[in-house]
Amino acid sequence: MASAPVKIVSLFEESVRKELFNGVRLARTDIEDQEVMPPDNIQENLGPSEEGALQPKVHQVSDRRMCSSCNVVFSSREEQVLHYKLDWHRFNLKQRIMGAEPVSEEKFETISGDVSSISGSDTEEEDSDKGTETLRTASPTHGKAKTSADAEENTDAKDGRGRRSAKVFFKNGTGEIFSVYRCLLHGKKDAPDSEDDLVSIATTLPTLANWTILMIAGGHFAGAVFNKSELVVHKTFHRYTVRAKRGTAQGARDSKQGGSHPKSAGANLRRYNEAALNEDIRQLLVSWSDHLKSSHKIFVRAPSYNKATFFGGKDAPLDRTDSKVVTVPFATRRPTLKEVTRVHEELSTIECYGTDCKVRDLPHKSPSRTIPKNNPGRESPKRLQNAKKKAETNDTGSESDGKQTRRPKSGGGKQKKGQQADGMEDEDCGRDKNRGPKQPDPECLGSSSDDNQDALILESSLEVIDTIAALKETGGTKKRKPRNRKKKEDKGAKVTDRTKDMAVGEESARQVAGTSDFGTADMEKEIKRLEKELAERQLRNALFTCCKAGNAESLQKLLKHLIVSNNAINGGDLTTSTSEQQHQLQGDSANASTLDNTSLNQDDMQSLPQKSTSDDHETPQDKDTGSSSTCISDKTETEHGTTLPGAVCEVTPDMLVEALDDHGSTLLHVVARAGSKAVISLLMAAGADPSLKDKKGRPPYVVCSSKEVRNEFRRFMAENPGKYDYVKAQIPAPLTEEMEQTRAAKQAEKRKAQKIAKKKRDQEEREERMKREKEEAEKTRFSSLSDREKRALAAERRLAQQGQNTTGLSNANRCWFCGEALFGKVPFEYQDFKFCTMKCLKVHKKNATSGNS
Amino acid sequence: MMAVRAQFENSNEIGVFAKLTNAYCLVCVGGSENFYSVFEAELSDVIPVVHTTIAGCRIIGRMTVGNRNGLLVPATTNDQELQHIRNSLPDSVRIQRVEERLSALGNVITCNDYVALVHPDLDRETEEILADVLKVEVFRQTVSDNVLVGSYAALSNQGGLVHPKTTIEDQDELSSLLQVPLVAGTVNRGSDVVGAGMVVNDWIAFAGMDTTSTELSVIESVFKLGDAPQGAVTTAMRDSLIDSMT
Repeated sequence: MASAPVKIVSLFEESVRKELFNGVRLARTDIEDQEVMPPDNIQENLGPSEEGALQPKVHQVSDRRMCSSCNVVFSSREEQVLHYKLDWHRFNLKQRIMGAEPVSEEKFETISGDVSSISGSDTEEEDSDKGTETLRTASPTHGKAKTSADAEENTDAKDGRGRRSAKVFFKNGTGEIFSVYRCLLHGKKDAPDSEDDLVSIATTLPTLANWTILMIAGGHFAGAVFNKSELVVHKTFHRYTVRAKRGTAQGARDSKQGGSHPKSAGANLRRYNEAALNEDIRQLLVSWSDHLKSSHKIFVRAPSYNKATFFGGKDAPLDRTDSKVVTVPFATRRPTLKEVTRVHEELSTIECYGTDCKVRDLPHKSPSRTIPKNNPGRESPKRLQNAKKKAETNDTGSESDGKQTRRPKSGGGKQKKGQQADGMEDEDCGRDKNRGPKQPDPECLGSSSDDNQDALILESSLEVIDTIAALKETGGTKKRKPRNRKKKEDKGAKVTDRTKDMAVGEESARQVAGTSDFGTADMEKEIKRLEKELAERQLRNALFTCCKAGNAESLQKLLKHLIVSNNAINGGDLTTSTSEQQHQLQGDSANASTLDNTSLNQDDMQSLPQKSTSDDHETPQDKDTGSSSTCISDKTETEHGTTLPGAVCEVTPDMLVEALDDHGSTLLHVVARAGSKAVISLLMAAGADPSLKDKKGRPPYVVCSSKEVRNEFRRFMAENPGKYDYVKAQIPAPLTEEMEQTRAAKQAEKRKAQKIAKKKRDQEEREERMKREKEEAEKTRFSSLSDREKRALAAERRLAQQGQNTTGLSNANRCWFCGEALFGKVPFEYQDFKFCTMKCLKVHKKNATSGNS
Repeated sequence: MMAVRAQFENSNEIGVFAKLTNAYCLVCVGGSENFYSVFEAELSDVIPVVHTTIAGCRIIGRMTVGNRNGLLVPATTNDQELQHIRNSLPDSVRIQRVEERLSALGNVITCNDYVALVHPDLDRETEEILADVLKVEVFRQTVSDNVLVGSYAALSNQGGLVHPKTTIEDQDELSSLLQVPLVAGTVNRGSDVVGAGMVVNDWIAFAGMDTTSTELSVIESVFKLGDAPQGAVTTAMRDSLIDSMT
């Protein structure tokens, strides 16, 4: 059980202190508390109940009505029940849980009254006694629950590693244990080595009685200078710096939000007040400089944000490294004079625990703090490792890269190329960094040797292609664009593509490696081959761009030979189709000519990087399959041999049917989706098969964006009925000229009928509207009339009705007295009688009353 | 013998997984039906035994508190769960969701049909709801200085079992407060979390499989289960009976 202090002595009470410090030494836990506590035995407590079990005893409800946490006894059940509802009981319950003594009811009243005082300056009456008491009991150093933790912490306190207790325990000659605050003896840094030093400092303590206490928090400042327990001088300030409810000081908030400070009037006011408060304090401390100099200890309590007030700046009033300056080692309340005196009192107390107390039970240390694990300062080692690995990969990469690239190429450009390689590596890595940590990079993170190799090979193959492009540049041909484009597409390429790249790159690099042992002639051949690959890629790009943009003219140029050859194969029936195409081309030429080919290329590359990269991959494959199958590609081969380095090779039929991307889309799919109908028939005539399906099993016809595009397919079907498997292509029926005409006629008829119907509808609507308007006008006219006019109108109507009903004169509507016709008049009436004038009415009424009486 | 041993998936802390009152029994949804069938076998003729979860958790015994009059569930309880419980329990039982910071209501509250012992820090509002829905008198008190009164005490209208280290004075105080006889004891072969280790109502108790026969007999005697009246016959009424028979 933790023991509360038996008595509390002030450091400055001479008589008691002398007695206490007689033969003082440090109280040690490890030596004195050797005796082992008897292990808690459940059986002990179980005793009575077990007995009860063995010889059945009737359990009874106790009638000891008392509350042990409040130390009260109740005379009746009602009293007991009521007690448990009281705040006093709750308070004492918490006190008990914290291991503190219960307070009496009267005491509690005063405490609870005190709690609600929130006045900033210290004007209320002095009842610091109670306030001190409550705070003391609530302070964590007395927590009973801490004892278990203390037991283990004491061990590392011994060898000086652990945090020191806020208090130092001494034992005097009579075996009495007492404690003083450690901060009185020494600062955090200058702890004395031996216990004797500590004891000697403790004994001199009461002579060093000039203390200054400075506290600042939340716009409140309180400072006081004490000599022993006497208050020499004091001062408190308050400025409005903390916004109510939100709570942080304005400056603290400003510094938290990077750059954006609140601009409200209140915020400015608070900012000003902060500065003013600082200034006030500085001036005060300057005026107190004598006191500060003569002080043996300066206790400072300032939240980290306010520390600058005391320690910051050039002419700081206090020196942080000064051994005199110590922080207040316990929680304090709002800085007021009352609080300052309380702090002084608390600091100057010696707590005595009596003689029969075990040091182990005493609250030794404040609870240890755990440092949060993901501390940004200590970067996770894993990440560092990764970074290191990355660096290594790059190193080896550029090395062997140099080797690889130099081998196939011997000549003047060698050195330059090596540099380029390195440059490119750097660029790659830079890009990787930019990509951020989330995305795993197969090149840089790949730790297995295979992956590394792949990455290197890829780099080298790209390198070769690049070099050729560079050569061409020097040769004066316009090859700048494609190279740039390639870089761009590389940058845009996704990780998956990169892995694919790697596989393909490996293949081509193997080819490079395989041929690298030959002489310069072979080398030239090699270069040519690569050139050809490059040209093919450009061709594909061009083809793709034409299709995507619907540029029929340039597409026709590209496909000319294919269409011709197809014509030759198919015989005469294609002549109509080609003429048809020509016709179409003229129609679309306006549209097509506006599109610039090269600029389009780039745009398309940006948006569709996957397609172009997959183009790259197909290159070697094409060479194997395509060249052997058709004579046309043979022709291109031979042609290629003679063409200039920049010359364009021709489109092979395979290019038209190959899948371009991950989804298995062919050129026709792309065209259908893009809705560029001008090129559809052209492509199909050249041999693009509409029955080829993409990965989702959809032929191009299905992915068409509009009906017009679909019609294009059907038209082609009508013209070339047997060319492709249209059932497989899911093209439903051919669309011939006549069909279109009949349809157009039908459409026109329908439209005409619709027009007529609409006209009729419009007219009806107009009539309706006019009617409504008329009614509306009538309404407004009537409502704008005065009541009198309305009445007149109503009368007129009535009269008109009457006139209709009774042709000629009638007696129905005459003055009851004089017989004057009431036609066109508003009659005067009483009861059911109507009269032409008031006079008639009066006389009639008079007569009537006299007659009755 | 009306103290029964049960086990929930190899755990003895059956008070965690079940809630037993005089009007109903809640059992959590488990991997197997063994646990449920123990309750079903003993209780199904008398009170409904309901399968449920609270906020998707199985620790319903620790999350809820209830008696014959009502049931309090934490605010985390789903609407579906609440509806299911409403449908399954008798109409006389009021069910209420409670917004309480100490959301494991079963750990911080222990009650019978008349009184409740609660954690000192429990919200005032919860206290009021408790008094209103469960129709109990609420007392803030600790059980041998433990604030988790629900964990360290098991209470019925007949008696109560409290933490084994509760002093005689505290027992007397609590007993006078709760108006039931109390005994300090253990369950599950010496476990001091008696509230979590067993569930009890006025005529039956379930304790963990590890509970010794001594512990069971303590439980039976303090909660006056099964043959407790018989015990009275053999002790208090013995003389008169034997006298008349001879």
